[in-house]
Amino acid sequence: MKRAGWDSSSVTPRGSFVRTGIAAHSVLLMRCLALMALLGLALPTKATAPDPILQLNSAEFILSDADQPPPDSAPWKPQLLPDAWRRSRPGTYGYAWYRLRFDVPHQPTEPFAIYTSVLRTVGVVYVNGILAGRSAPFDKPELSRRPHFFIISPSLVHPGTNTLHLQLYVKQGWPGLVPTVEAGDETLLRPEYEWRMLLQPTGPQIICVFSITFGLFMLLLWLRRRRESAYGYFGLSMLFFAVYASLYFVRYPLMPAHLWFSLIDSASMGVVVTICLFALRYVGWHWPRTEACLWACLVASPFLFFCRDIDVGGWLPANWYSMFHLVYLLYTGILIAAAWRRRTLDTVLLSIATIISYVGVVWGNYMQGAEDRWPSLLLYFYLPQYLVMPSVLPYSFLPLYLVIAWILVGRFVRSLTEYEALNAELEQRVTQKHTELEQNYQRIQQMERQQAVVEERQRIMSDMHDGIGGQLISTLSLVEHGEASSTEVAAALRECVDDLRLTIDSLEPTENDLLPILGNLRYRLDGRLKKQGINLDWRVKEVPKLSCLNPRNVLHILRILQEAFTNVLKHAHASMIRVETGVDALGKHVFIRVSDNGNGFAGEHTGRGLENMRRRAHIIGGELDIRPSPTGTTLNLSLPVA
Amino acid sequence: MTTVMVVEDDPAFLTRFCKIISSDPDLELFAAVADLASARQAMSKTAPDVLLTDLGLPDGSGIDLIRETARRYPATDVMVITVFGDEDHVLASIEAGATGYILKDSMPEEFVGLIKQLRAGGSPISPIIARQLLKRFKPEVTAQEAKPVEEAGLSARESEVLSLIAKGFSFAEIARLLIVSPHTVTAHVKKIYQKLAVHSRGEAVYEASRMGLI
Repeated sequence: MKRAGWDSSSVTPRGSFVRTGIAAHSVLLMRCLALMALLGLALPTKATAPDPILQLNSAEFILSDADQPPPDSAPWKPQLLPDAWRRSRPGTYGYAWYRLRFDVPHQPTEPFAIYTSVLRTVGVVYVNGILAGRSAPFDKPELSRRPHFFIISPSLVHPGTNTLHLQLYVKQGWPGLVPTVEAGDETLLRPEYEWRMLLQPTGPQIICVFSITFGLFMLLLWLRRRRESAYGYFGLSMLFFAVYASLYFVRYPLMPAHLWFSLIDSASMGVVVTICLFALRYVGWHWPRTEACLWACLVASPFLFFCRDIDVGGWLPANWYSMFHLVYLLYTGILIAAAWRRRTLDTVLLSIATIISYVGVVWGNYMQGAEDRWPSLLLYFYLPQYLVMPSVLPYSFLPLYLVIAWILVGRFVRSLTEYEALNAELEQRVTQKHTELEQNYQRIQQMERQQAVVEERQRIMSDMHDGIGGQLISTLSLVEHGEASSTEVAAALRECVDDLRLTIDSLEPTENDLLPILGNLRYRLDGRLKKQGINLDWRVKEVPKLSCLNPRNVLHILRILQEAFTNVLKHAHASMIRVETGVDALGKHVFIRVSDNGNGFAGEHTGRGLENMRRRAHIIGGELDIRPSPTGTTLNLSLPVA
Repeated sequence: MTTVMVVEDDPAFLTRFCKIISSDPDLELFAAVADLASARQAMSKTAPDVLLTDLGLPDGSGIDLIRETARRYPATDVMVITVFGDEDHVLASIEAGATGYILKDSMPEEFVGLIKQLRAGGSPISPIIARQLLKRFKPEVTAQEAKPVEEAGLSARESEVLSLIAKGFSFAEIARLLIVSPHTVTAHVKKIYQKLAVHSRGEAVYEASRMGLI
């Protein structure tokens, strides 16, 4: 990329544009070509204007400090337009005059206009000796390549030959350029002027704003995702490009020309260096030395360009700009190699866009007419026309930007899709885990059930063994030995049945409710108590539900109480038994109290029975307290609530 | 004079029951049979005041006999003869229409007493059975369809009586606690039995219609 400001120093070939018609034609052709190159679109050729727009490409020239157009007697010399001072009179600067003549068939009634596609550095227009307009103040020379449009009052123009004087001021070290001047009806010329304005400077302005926005966006993206350094470099590259593109619309730089050009050229170096780093990161190649060299190149550029622009340092600063092409070729090479290896749409598009942008850059540099290091016959031949064309350079990076945007959007969409797929998978996994857990749970439940069945079977077995089994065997032996009377045998067997009933009662669902269990015991014993003439004082009260009331513990409680009743019946000679229930003061224990008014049954023949009762109470987690006295015995069984 | 019929397949017990009944001046043996078919035949025209039946009969279930009798002869009181008085057997019998049960090994005086008590109005229920009955009528938090209380449920007094029975109180004690006569308590108990039978029949109808039989 070469800044637009440097004019070529080669001599304009003679006879290129002898006839106005051909020249007009070529200009039109050029415009169309430029359009196609710029926008990549085949725009329809503009209809040739029926009314004459005068293309003035031959002039007379004189170097003069005169304030007014020099007289015809002055030593005017013929000069073809466009006229680039860097080529026609290198090293010259200061004030000069151009004299152009044009014929008008009859007195115009509409406003007349003079149009120059570019005018550098400052131009002042006189029509028939009268001041008609100026492009800029003399003390503020213009750098951007913007078109100028001077509206002339129809009264200034008269039928026949008119004279147009153009005073040009070329500041030292600044490019001087006068293009083909066009004259004609204002309404006819204006579209051309406006089209030119759109291409430059409006287009580059838009691109500059776009670059800053997109570049900052990329940098932010990189800030949030440090690993994606490729985007950081690309964002930097865009910001550099925004600085560079300002060349195409900043009219009056705020700094001296050499500083300004150093800045612009350093920015263009920044563009390629960072984009090369982007390419390396993007394709994922780790070349630390190359990266270091690139960084060094970037840091050295402002200094070297500054040296060049103040003509210090000799060969290296003078040719430093070649580094630009070297880096650009490296970058293009990297992308093409990656595209060749991977053959993905992204890399292929990226390398195509890169090639397009490079062609645009070289083409743009040619158009500046300043690139004498890259000689070309075409350039040499058409140079004067290229000089005045708007630059394709600001537009040459558009395809690249579009491709990168495409890649970014692609990545975004892909990660969204992946995210969604991941979510779906996670959901599926959760469902699967859920099912597995449920199955596990069911398996465990089944095992627990089996375990419960086993435990219950063991419990029943041991109950049979302890209780009815033992009793039946002892009864059997009594009968076999013929030692017992039938009444005794019947009593023994009745005990067996009672015990069996107790066992069955213990299996009834209790829902942790103590009172029905006690009630059932009463129900079972009522007949016997009545027969012995014992009154039952039933004073049970509602108690909290007891968590310990499983069949095993219920049987223990029933056996303890049954034993207590049996003891009273057999030994106490009581006339009254009182059964009470209640809760202790703390509410943590429920008590069952059985008291009688007999003469006590504690004695050696009940010792084993009591021991058994205590053992059972202990198994349940309860406590048994028996207090015999001559006036009655009180049995207190206390059971934990929780 | 109360006529009693016994259906029992164990000849020893059948003989024993017959003896007990014959020896009481207030009771008269209506019939003593050992299987379902004979029982049906015996009751084809008339029915006894009290029917005592075992559940496991050689040619069918005593439950069917109870159900038929309850339908055909509502005046007949049915009692189940059971070894243990366990919940499953007794509840099923009560649902079929029985109003009490007798333990197989009851002493003769208990046996006669129960029959007389039954004729007098109500037979005692064991507390555990009472508790189950309470649960039947008041499904606490079951997800089953809630039936309107007044349709099949117990009155407040009836459920009070039932819950006192479940706590082991005798009829006399309940009468004292509720300050009513013992007859009222027995009347309540009988009503509860009937309601349970109706309740279970309603449930049967409901079940049948649900299964598409009706």
